[in-house]
Amino acid sequence: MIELRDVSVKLGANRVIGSLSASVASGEWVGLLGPNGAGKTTLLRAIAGLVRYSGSIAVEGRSIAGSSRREVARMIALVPQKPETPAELTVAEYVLLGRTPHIAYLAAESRDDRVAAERAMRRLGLRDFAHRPLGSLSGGELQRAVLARALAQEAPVLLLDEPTSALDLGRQQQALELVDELRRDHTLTVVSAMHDVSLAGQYADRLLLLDAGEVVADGVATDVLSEERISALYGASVRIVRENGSVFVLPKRT
Amino acid sequence: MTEIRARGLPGGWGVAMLAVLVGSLLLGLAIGPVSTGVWPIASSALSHLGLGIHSRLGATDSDIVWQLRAPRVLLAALVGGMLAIAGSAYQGSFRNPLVDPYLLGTAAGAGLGATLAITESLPSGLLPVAAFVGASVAVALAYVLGRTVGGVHSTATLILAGVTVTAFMTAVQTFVQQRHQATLQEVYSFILGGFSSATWHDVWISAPYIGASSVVILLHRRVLDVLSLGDEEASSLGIDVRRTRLIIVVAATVGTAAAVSVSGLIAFVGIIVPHTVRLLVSTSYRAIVPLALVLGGAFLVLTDILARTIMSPAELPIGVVTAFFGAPFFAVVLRTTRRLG
Amino acid sequence: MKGLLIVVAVVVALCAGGARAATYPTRIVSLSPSATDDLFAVGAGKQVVAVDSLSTYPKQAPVTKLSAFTPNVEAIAKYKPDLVVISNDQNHIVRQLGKLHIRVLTAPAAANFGQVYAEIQQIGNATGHAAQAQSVVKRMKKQVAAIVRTTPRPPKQLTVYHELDPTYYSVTSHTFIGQMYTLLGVKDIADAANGGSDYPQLSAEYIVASNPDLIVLADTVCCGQSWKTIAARPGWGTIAAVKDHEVVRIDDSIASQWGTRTVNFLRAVASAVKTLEARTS
Repeated sequence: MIELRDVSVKLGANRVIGSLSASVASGEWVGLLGPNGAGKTTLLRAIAGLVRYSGSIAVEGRSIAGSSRREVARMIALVPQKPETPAELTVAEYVLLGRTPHIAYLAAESRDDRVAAERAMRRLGLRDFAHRPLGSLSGGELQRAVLARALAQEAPVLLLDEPTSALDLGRQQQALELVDELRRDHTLTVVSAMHDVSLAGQYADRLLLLDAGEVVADGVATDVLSEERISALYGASVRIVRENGSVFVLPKRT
Repeated sequence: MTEIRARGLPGGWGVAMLAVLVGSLLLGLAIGPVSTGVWPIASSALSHLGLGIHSRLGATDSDIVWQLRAPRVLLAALVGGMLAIAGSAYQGSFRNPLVDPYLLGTAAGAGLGATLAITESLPSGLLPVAAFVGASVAVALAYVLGRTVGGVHSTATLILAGVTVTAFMTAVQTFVQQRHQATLQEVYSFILGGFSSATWHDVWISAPYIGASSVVILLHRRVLDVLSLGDEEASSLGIDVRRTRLIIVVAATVGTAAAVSVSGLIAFVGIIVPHTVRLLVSTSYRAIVPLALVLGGAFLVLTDILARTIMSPAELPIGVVTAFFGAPFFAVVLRTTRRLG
Repeated sequence: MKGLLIVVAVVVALCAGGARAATYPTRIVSLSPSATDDLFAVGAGKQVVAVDSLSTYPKQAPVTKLSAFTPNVEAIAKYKPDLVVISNDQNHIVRQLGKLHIRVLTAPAAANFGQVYAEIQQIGNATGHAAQAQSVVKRMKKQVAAIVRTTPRPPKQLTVYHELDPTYYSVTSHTFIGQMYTLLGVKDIADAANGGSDYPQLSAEYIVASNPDLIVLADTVCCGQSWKTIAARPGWGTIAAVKDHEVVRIDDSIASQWGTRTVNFLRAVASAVKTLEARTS
């Protein structure tokens, strides 16, 4: 589904990503891990075509750099770390914005668009919130609204940048469970950048560890996560617990 | 189950504001130092439509109404509507509700163009052309400056470039103006703005630009809502933000330049009117853009009426009236409306 | 038969006379104080229905709130004028009055006495008082000649500083006022000031250094200037004109108009020159 070959990104004078190659299969969930500055967000933005890159990135065989903004938006839905949620916008309007790639430049929404938005809202339990302004929603409801907008885009690829950083423990799990359900129901390909190594390990099919813009490990959680690697990558001391095929990474005070 | 919809343009408000506009136009036709009466004016209007109704208006009064008041009132509506809709377009593209249509240098450029036309004694018919050219050059300069200086294309860079161009052109204009004492009065009366010498010719030459510009902006009202999510998210939703912003800014600038070239520099309308709509009606540009057009026209017609009646027969400069009455009005709207968020 | 011819001739003459009289304006609006002055001087006062707020001379002129600087067409039209006299086309007033089919006479600022006389004649012709205008002009010419003749020319040429406003704007001898000083043999200190403008802004230093023998203040009404106020300005106490109290105060309106009262201005300056001459000789 997503093919990255020798991708490099320079922001100003810094080479943030260097000669990165990876691939993501259709329906797979790949978690990007790495310390701050490793290039996770930049990589997601490159895939979404928001930043210039050298090398090649192709989604469903189509090059990102060679496609128009609209074509990319129909293939990729990006949920940023801190999405803009204008307080006065209603939930319905916000989710409808997700239909933008399917609406002609100067046209208005069609019936199909409204139906798609309603479907997305229903899926995320927001149908009754349709006319509520975003400013009146709780943290969890807002999170669902953001996901609903991404879903309304009806793009086969979903990119999530730190989807849980602002949420409490319970909400974090709810959000990730939701993403997993959506992935299965709509056969979405998900790439998420996460700082919580444990959660990433439990939900993603595969992990990509980035350090200073390069891939240092690529594989399933049980293979990739080890105490040496984590301590080398994050400079943290941890204890790895393996149980029932899952890997738990516990910060340990030395 | 009611279908979900975007808020759009509330019909009630649309009708109400149109009514206010029409009412103010009629009021403008009827009011003046020479009392003409409403029914005679109406009969004169109907007689022009060839319905066989005899005009009750005397010859001089008829000239006063149709040659002096009518173009004045229409021009005020065109200019007011244009400044307001341009203000809303700028506010939407730059995501800043405090921006006005003179942001990128339109006013300073028009002022310089007009000053040069006056001091170089160009024929008076060329004054609007000079102002228009000046305004367009200023905005083009701001754009070029913003693009070459700002590495990453950001709105902040463009705004700063506009401030730079404005400061420069204002300085040049002041210098030229001070060197030609004899024409000082004429230059000032252009800068302060007003409709006291409005003619049908002014209406015909500015209407096409104002019309075209308004149409382009109206067509982009949904896109302006998408832009409110920020450049990054709007891009990720498929909008070519840079090109869209350019189109909207060019359209708004052309219309504003045309308005300024026939009416001088009238401040305040471009910020206050869209903001009032935002507070009274909705924050969605689908409502703000069309309603600003209508309300802006009504507002300027009404302030023009005030400007020419308060101290009759003397006329207050219209910029003074817009500020004087616009500010408290805005304060009242701010207090009486409560919004979430 | 002869009687009938005489009656017809008389009737024709009366009608022609009546027709001629009917073409002269009877409802004149003047938006220029100088023109108001001229209109009344040539005897057309009865034909004037309204004058602008600044036309305070002569006293019997029908002053209204109309503005000379920001003319309002509708307000002017209210007086149903058949002639409007203006001094310059402010705010495209000529075009706008044209839309209402109202005749306009433009009597611009005069640059010399010749133009003053020409305007008086023009106004006289337009209002049916050509002969009277001619005699007004003749009288003025005689008065001016007499004033110039009786003004002494001292061996050392006298200098003058003409003040337009308290920020030291003055006039050079290229202006009308300046030419009057030249007529009286007085040198204008503003001529030597570098500027290129006919209305240069001088500096206090320059004025004090030039040490004029005579100071004429044209800002007495607008800005309350007098010998007392200028003597209080730092350094001005050393100027000859200030020390000798040779400071002439001119009503602002006389100094800025070009009607029949121009002669008054000439007379006032000439009298100051005579006093100066008497004192120094």
